[in-house]
Amino acid sequence: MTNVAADHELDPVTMVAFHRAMAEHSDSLKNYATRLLGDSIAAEDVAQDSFLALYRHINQVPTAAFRPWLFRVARNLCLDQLRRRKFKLSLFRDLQKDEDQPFAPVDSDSITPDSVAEAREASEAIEKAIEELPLKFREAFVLCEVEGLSYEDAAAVMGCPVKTVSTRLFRARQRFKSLVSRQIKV
Amino acid sequence: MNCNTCQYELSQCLDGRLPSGRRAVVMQHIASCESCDTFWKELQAAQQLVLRLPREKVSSSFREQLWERIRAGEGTPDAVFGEAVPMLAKIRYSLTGAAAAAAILMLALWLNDGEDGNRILDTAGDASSTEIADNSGNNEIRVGPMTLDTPRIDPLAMLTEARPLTASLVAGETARQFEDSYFAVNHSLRQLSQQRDSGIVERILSNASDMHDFAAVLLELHDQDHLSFRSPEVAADLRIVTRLLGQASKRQNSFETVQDFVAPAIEDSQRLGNMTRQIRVTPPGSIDPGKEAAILVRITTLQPQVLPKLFIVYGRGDQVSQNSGPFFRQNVFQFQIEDPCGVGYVAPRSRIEQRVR
Repeated sequence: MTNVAADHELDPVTMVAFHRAMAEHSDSLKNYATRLLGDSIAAEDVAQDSFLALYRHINQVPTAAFRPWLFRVARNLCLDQLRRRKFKLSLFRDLQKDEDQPFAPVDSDSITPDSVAEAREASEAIEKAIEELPLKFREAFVLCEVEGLSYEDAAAVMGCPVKTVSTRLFRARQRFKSLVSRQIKV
Repeated sequence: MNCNTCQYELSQCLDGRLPSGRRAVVMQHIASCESCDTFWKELQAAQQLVLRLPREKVSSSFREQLWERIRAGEGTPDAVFGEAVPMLAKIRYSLTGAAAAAAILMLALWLNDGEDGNRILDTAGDASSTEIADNSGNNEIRVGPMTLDTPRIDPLAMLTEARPLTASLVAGETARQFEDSYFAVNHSLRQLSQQRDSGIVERILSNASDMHDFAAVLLELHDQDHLSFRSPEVAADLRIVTRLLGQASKRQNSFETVQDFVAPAIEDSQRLGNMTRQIRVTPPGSIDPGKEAAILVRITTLQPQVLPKLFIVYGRGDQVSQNSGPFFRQNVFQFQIEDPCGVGYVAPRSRIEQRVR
């Protein structure tokens, strides 16, 4: 563990910026990490570690760059976990499927057992399709398509040229589209 | 315009990245090309599917826990900047001090292999243990069965990962190894539910025994204020796991032992599967050196079998330097886990073995 900066309290302006970043990006970071790791508990820890790192290094990060910086940190943490524990992931994934069915909000007026089951099935198929994308494509897809980062921000997070993001995103979309062809109603 | 280019640009168009002039050309193409028109519609429909996905939210305690960690002075995890330092630089930095001594030692060992009766055996082939031994039989470090896959030692990592033994290093490595054992047991339990096999039972009990030992070390460090848990439930779970697995170790290796003691220990302790995230290690500088030495001695004397499971042990620094002349003598490897002076150079197994997994 390294503790590079600021154990002291932040100045009020920086503190407000930090709070705003937490409010705006904590869910997104967790989403991103969940899709990289396939484990929402570990993903929440990654999100928390990312904010801890931001707090410690906040004086070195321009406010406008908080978002890509946080995603970059989250990415490093996720890749570290994937490297360290790649053989374990499949185990957790199986457990999660049994225990943590994703909650799909449904219009209460139209709730019927069939519609709930269909919505859940569709969500699962989409999540599975994302999970099946190769890591490089998945990263680009989650950052740009799911989290709505610009190509430039995604490039900063992934440490590659903007053109590469664009290409990976295209490839990811092609694969994703074919994986969810049953759910697509044109 | 060919269809491949068109479809690539349609992807950019979806993100509003295409200049209007180019967009017009692309739209003109899809008006006359059925396959690109279908591709465009499917691309939009796929995006709609993604946008409708339920979103994860952080838990209600997220902020509170974060502030608690900030107030506790917790540092930035090393992996945050994991990619910033290239591997070669890491090797260069690491090949100083203890690691350099270890490098010389390793080289000497290999050179002496077969000449004076000493050897390093990597017994990965027998899928059960790794040992560093000499023929005299009195200074042997043997490491017991590990987790899912058979670990092999990465020699380069042995040079780069050497570091002094500290309480915080023990805490972090124990948590990692606990996680590994936990997953190995969990995995084998699921195999056992599909196939009742005595080999699986043996494997579960072996890993459960490791888990028990690691849990005991974590509790010891906790009780001595060298680490804290994120919540009191973690300590409670660990104590239950220790008790159940302790009882398992006193019984014969059987399916019933697994069923009665190991399975309940795992089922009721899901949060322990994420142990590295459940602990907060006291920063190295803030521990009184005397107290730290005492806890290391306590662990190494009370549970001498644990340290070799956590680390490759190189030897005490002073011994390494004293012996750098003749390079290798039998007593170089006598870092004695039971040595009351305790501290020596070690390499965490998780760092060394992960590279060959």
